[in-house]
This record gives sequence, C-alpha cells and structure tokens, in this order.
Amino acid sequence: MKLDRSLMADLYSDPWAQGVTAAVLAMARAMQIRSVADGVDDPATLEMLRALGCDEIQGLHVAPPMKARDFEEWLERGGARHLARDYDTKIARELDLADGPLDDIMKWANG
Amino acid sequence: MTEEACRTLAGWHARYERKFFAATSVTGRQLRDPRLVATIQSAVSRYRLPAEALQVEVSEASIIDAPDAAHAVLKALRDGGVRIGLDDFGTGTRRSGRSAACRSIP
Repeated sequence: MKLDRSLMADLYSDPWAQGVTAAVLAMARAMQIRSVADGVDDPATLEMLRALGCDEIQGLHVAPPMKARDFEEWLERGGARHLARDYDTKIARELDLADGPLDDIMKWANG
Repeated sequence: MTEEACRTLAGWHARYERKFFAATSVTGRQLRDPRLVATIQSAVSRYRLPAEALQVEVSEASIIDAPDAAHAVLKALRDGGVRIGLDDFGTGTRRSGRSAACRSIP
C-alpha cells in the first residue's frame, strides 16, 4: 500500500496528515500489507514515518528519480547507505520527535 | 512500459545478487483492457523473470471507479504471482490531494 505523497508534504507539522497517515498504516498492518510512503524528501519525514511504523519509503531523501543506467552507478557507489540507522537516529534526537504533540498519535499508531 | 521494465530487470537479475522487483503503474483505462493480464504475463515470461519481479500498481481512485474490472485483473495477476500495489492511498480523491472531502469539513 503506497501512501500518497500529498500526505508527506508537511507530515511533520500537519496533524491532519499525521492522522490519515497513522490510520492508513494501522489498516495496512491489520491487513498484513506492506506499506510504502511516497514523497519522503527529508530526514524529519523519514523519522516521523519510522515512529508511525511505515515499512518502506521512497522520495528525494533516498534518491532523486533516475534513469536505469544512473541507478546502476548509484547502487554501485553505495546506494541508500546514507540512510543507515545511526545517522537518522541522531537526527531524530536532534528533532526530539518522540516528545510533544506527536507523542499521543504515535502511541496510538503503534498500539 | 512493462516490456521495458522486464528487460531492464532481467539485466539486473543477471548482474546483481539482489532480486530486484520493478513497479509499473496501470491506469483506470488499462484496467478495462481485456488484453492487459496477457500482455503483462507474456512480458514477464519472455524475459524469464519470476512473477514476483513485477509489481503492478493501481491507484485507489481507479479501483473505486471500476471495482469489478479492477478485481478481475488484480486477482488474475495475483494468482499468477505478480505483486500488487495500491497507489496514492489515503487521499480518497483523484489527484486533488489536499482538497480531500473530509479536509473541507469545518
């Protein structure tokens, strides 16, 4: 199930988008369908999605759209290595994502 | 489109250890095309790919528009092992995104 990119545009600050995203992810989990968020362009959105329990992401934060030949080169240079867990956990700490108004919705989304 | 995706994938399967899959979008109009399933299945088998190397993506809106056609096509593909993706999920609208109906509720 691919979450629409319009939900990601300001997921970090928009409670409406957070609510719909959390609900769709909860539904996907209940139906045992893998979830993919489209349009993840920055580390803050990635961390939000991690907290909400999204399985996979795509977007500029991973890589810009590219031709097949460029993808081979990108992959051989290390691909999405920059998304390694440590790196983003550090960003999450800096953003203090788990604290504040999002706390409740994440608790709900994660059961 | 599916043909080209399968050709590229076959090359990547030969070159890399990881078994990539490719996603291609299918429009509402294509869903109503009775040849769609055969076209996709023949592209997959022509390049000797496992069916799960291809993901066919259908938007939430096009399923709502033609639920019977969508069900028949997706079931046939799924039974053959092709992955199914539900695209643009969560807005409940046609590409209007943020103007989703429930957003306008005061």
